[in-house]
Amino acid sequence: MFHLPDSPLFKIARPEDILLAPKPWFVAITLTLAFTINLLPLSGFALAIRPDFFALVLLYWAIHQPRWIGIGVAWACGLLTDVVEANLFGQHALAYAILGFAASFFHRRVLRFPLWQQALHVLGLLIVAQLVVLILRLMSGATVPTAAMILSSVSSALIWPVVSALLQWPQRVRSLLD
Amino acid sequence: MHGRVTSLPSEPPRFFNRGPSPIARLTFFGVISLALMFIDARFKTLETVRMAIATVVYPVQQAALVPAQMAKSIGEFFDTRSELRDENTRLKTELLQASQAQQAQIASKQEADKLSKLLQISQTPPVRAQAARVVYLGRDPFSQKAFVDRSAGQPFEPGSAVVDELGLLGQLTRVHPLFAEVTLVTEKDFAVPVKIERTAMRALLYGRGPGKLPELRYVASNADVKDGDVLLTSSIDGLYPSNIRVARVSSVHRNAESAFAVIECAPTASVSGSDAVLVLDKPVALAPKPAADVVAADGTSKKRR
Repeated sequence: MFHLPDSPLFKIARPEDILLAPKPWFVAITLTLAFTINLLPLSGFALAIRPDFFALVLLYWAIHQPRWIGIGVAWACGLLTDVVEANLFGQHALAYAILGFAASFFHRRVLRFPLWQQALHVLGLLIVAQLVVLILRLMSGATVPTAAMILSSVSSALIWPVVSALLQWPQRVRSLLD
Repeated sequence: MHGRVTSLPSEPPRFFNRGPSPIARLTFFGVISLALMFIDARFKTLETVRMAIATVVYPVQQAALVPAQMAKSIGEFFDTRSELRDENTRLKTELLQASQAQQAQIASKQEADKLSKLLQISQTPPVRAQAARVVYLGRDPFSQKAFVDRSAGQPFEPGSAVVDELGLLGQLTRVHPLFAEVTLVTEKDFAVPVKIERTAMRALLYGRGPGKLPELRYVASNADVKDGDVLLTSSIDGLYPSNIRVARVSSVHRNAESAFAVIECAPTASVSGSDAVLVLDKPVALAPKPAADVVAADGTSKKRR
């Protein structure tokens, strides 16, 4: 499905490979970076198809490092999203906490699959998170948005392999150097 | 062979104490989220928390704006001379027209002042305007917001009207130390008291959410409304200064079965494209209502966030 450049740097870890542990600062920086990318001032169609990078990177670390990034951290990240989007407090917090929970539930299983099947899992999880936000918004009196809303989940799932490769990169570089 | 196949447990056996189970944590955070939503929607007591988080996050937001600003300044660098000259000519023409209109207005204002002095009607003082720049539009697909910057010392007040060069853009809803949120006129159930310029008939303009035009509600089917009519603020709520352009009627449907006409209006302000805006102070508070009908005295409460 995806053809990443054929270099050892871009080779995704197979399930039986054991990666080096990521550095805590790397996790923190990638999360901050994803949050910043989410804040890019887009509008219109570009905004509609923009993947939710923050949720994606959060999900990645929740799956790969569930000891560090759990439900609590995911919840706090959702609260940040609520503040910057000027929403009712707690809706993204709840959605992201559910993502964190699903990751803690699935993380052993998801990593056994090849990347594109992982992407399908991710798609399902992100759609559930979007549905949570949708239901909460409808309860607080918003209008029903168009079905185009789902595009951001689809594009997020599509770039999951790339995000995985990028986030695994430092761990593999170090293992190559050894 | 084996009697039955058992699936792998999703949780490892608890050799080590790892704190509460995931489901307990999810329940805990879920309850907190719901409580926060309830408190935020009903009591508005979390504004200080929100402001604190927003101020901490503000540098990150600024950093996210840098690529767009760089792209813009590079684009401006390559603007050709003829483009700039064209723009200059256009702006000069517009200035000329505006100053002529203003002179005419000064004369009529003096006349109106004299007349209202004679009639002893209280005069409306000029409204103070503060300039601000739209930093970015809201990213939430459900609501219509814009964010404007605020330099230190600009006394923004929630509830003030925000206008661009073409008309009313919306209303300030939250004021943070370094920026402020503007709820746009297209936000769902955002109400603006308006009057029709041609007939001075008063009505209420309601926003209907993203992708839909606002509509005039509760206007009788036989009312005199035509396509192209201009709507101005009527200042009947004491929030908006009077006579700001708001919208233009774009379609009128009269239905024999309904007592009300369906009137869609297109906002005159460029809701998705404004760059520089003005924040207008609220008009001076009107005299309080007589005690008999204090029920409707709270003018701000009908605005949604």
